[in-house]
Amino acid sequence: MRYGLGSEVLRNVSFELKPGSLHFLTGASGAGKSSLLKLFYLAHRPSRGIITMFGRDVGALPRHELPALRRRIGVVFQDFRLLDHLTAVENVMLPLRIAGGDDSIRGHAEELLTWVGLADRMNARPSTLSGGEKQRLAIARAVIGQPDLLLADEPTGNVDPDMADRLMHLFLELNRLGTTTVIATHDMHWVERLNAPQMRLEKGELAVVGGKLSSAPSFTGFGSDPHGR
Amino acid sequence: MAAKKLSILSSRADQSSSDLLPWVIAVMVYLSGLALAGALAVHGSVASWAGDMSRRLTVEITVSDDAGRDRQAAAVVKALTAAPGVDSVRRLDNAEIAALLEPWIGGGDVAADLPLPVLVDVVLDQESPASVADLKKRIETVAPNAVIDDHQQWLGQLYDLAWMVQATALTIVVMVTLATIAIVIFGTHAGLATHRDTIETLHVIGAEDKLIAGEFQRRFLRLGLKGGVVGLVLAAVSIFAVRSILTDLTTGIVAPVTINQSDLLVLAALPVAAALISMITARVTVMRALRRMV
Repeated sequence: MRYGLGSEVLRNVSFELKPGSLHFLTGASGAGKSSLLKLFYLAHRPSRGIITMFGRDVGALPRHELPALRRRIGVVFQDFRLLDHLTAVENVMLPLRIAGGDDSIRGHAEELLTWVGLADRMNARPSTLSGGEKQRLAIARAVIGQPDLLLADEPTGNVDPDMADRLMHLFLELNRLGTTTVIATHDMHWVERLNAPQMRLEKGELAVVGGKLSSAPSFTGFGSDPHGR
Repeated sequence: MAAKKLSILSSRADQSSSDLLPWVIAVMVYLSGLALAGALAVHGSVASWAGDMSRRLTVEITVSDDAGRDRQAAAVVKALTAAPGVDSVRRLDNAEIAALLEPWIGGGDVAADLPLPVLVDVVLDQESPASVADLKKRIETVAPNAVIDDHQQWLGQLYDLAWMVQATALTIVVMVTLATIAIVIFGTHAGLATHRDTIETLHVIGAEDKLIAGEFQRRFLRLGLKGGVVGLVLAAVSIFAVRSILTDLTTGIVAPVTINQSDLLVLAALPVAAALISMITARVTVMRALRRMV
């Protein structure tokens, strides 16, 4: 993958993820973690190579078919990307509203906010929330649609150690419920503690640490282009 | 139960365009309203004047002695009354002629001070009008000094004027429409730039282009309608004022300039047209911009 006419930021990246698995994505700043996540959540298409997601070649997918695919992916952005003009509960409801949900989703959103410890901040605007609260709100928004794939970019980067523990347990809980989870992090404490497979990016190339990711071919693949494109 | 509408884009983020755009559209609708009102009024008035004048002749008899003038006038009235295809023939009395001259030379007993010509007003039959050439022959036989005016030169100039006014009005409306489209495109691009991060987030969450475009088109419909109504009210005030002055000015010369009910409907549709132009332009602009995103 490359941006415009610049040099390739990702190359020779090839792997498959098993449904329901948990993975850490690690690497130094500038190694390509954010670029790989952007390919994951379909904000970019590969400049060469093939990405197969949910059985579809996303590089060849018509643009109008991307939203349906994106709704199967939950993303926790490093900078949260909450909509400041909406309340906390409206932010959480947003993915379901976009998917055509009616007012009945409000109860679900409130339940989820309670679960992440924001029961008393339902109607607060994101600008009035602390970093940890925003993080939990972003997580609630990411998971409300029960995504098949959850991506979290440095989800513990802005919070204190206690909050980091709570958030990580949230991810583990979601993963146990069947959501494939990829967590990009610098926090090696959690990587070592969970002993989960680790995708380590170094200068745009991928190394797998901690065992084989998966041999299941059906979920997600970032492969070199067999057609030589 | 229907879902309460959730605004996915903040209306406060691009407040400047929300504040200014209705005023710009108000100016556009005001200019279009004046141009259209002018064109419609001229169209209606010219049709009214031309309808009257196209089947009328005026015979002017200018003979220096009163007896000869009256004799020729009586002969002309008799000859034309007997002619086929003539509906009515009437000699105007001095008071009517004085009334026609009043706007130019003022009131008073002009008949006593000036040698007034005899004017004979001839109205042709609507179904089978007499030929002007035939009537001219009959008049020349009994009144060789008579001048016959079938108003064709005046009508031709009137039609030219009406065409020019309407073409100018149409040009103004087209230019104003294009300017409105350009302004809405600029406003939409400014809105897209303001909301770029939010739009990217919405895309990642799974929002379709038409959802985002719908947000913009509703906003621009609302702003267009708001500005359009203000512009129409201001235009109505100006049109009413001009109409009053014009009616006073033209009384006794030509039929008053009027705007009929169907013309009013056209003018009333201007804010709706402005709102629709804004809405469609915003939608097309947003859809085109979003297609360039992943």
